[in-house]
Amino acid sequence: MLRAMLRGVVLMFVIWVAGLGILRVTLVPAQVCPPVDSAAALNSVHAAVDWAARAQQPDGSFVYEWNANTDVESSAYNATRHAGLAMSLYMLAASGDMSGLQTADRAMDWMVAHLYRHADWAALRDPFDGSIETGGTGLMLAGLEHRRLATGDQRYDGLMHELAGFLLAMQQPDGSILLAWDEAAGAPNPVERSPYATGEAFWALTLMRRLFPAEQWEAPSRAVADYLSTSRDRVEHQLFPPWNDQWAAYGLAEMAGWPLSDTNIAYARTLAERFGFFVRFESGRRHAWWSNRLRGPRARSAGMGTWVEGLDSLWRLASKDPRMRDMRDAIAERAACSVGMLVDRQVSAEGAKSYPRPGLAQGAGFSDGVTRMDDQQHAIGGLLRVTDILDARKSSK
Amino acid sequence: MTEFARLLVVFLAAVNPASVGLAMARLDADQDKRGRLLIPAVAAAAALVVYAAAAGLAQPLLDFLDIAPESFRLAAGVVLAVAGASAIWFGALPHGGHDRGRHSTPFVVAIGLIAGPAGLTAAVSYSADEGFGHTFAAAAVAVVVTGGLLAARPQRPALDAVARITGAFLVAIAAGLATSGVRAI
Repeated sequence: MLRAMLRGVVLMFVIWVAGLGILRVTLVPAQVCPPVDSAAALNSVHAAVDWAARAQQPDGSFVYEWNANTDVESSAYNATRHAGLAMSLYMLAASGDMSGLQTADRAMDWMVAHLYRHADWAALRDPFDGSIETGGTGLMLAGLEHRRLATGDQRYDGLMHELAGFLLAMQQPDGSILLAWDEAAGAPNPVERSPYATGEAFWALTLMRRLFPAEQWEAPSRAVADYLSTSRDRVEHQLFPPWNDQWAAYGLAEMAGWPLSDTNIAYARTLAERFGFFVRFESGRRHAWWSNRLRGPRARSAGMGTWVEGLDSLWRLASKDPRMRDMRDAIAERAACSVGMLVDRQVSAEGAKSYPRPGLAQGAGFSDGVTRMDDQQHAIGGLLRVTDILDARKSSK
Repeated sequence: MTEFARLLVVFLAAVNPASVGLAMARLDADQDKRGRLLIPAVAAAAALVVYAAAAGLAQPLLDFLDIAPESFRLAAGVVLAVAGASAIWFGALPHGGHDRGRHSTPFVVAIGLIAGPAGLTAAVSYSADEGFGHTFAAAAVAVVVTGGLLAARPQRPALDAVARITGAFLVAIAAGLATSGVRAI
């Protein structure tokens, strides 16, 4: 009888251990969040800013993408990502740190040299494929808005209104913003939409209201916010809504004091949940073959940077709006985790020495040996403001 | 539905008294009257201790394993779904005991059936999210109900049907738990 009982116990024990082991490896691996403080985050920002300065070409453009394994620079370019990197440098300037301003101004000169003008508006034209899109224009406008916030210089006010005019020309009655201008037709392309462009334009429009409060920027901004909150995922066929749109989060945070509608808040809450899930999932990934197989490859720095940007914006919204107050601490925890991973994966000065071109490695984030300009853009955008979260968590402890 | 009522439904589905009763009926059909009362009592008492430990140590356990409670919900959902599907398929929960007699059966029933993977995983997950008190109270009610059912010895066909229906409920609960784990921050 005793032997039979022991056999049953051992069998049960083996089944439990095997089951727990499978769960541990597949669904609930340890979630590793490297410790980080605001000083480390700002050091990381400056390393990325320095990367941008070193990667800038004489005409103001940047090294778009560099494969460290083959030491080959990509011949492609993307005006929207160019505008995004410049914008992140202007955001840093608006926070009081002017270390990236010259680099940003040179990048702005490049954009000004590639403007397309029609009627009373202007837009950024991608010189590599000729496209005229809202995303790049929206980020160019957001960059100029932060430049004005940083310097008070009004020289680009006219251009800002021209760029904003293009965004309004692309806006549809439902609040959505189409992706591209069809130069041949002399009208917006009615078919093309982008999961990024609407949010990019949205944020730029909300900042116009802050800079020019006497003008009518609130109605179009609210129209986009409502479209994003109620219709975008359905209209644009998002399989797993909501689309993880950090630009929307930026815009919603900018609107926090307007204030936002209940529908907008409901959407903001779902965004926080989505970013939080991404961070939790990423923190369980390892730089190992079995993790690649089971949980996919680690996210690139650009992706993690967007999560930090989104969470940081939503934390600011949760700090102001009582309807999101209950999420504030959880958002801060996920943001801090993502910042830790982002900083941890950035190539240090010491680590860069092992690369064929240390100047293009130091301060960069790599994925499969490749770094792209937006890896640094989103790292800067995410890390420069998240110090408020890190400091708040430190003081609360 | 109050939070406690919701937890009670979860634990009744996770413990699945009908399924435990069915497995027990297959395990010790020839017990005498004394054994039929003693075994459920000992089993329920042992299970209560195990549930108290699982719920009480939930947060330290998750901290030790570096798992956020929100992430654990996803894993718990999978465990509950497997247990629910198993109940739908088999009726009686599979267990590791093949012996008969009052000395061995309570242990098998308590650990393998009443305090099985679904119930204990739920105890850890819900305790981490909603606290020890409500979680353990709900688990305790489910354990007591199970013990009472074991003592009452209802007919096997009735147990079989209820066990499978409860399994279906558990699958639905599991889906909700896993979804909440994905949707949480």
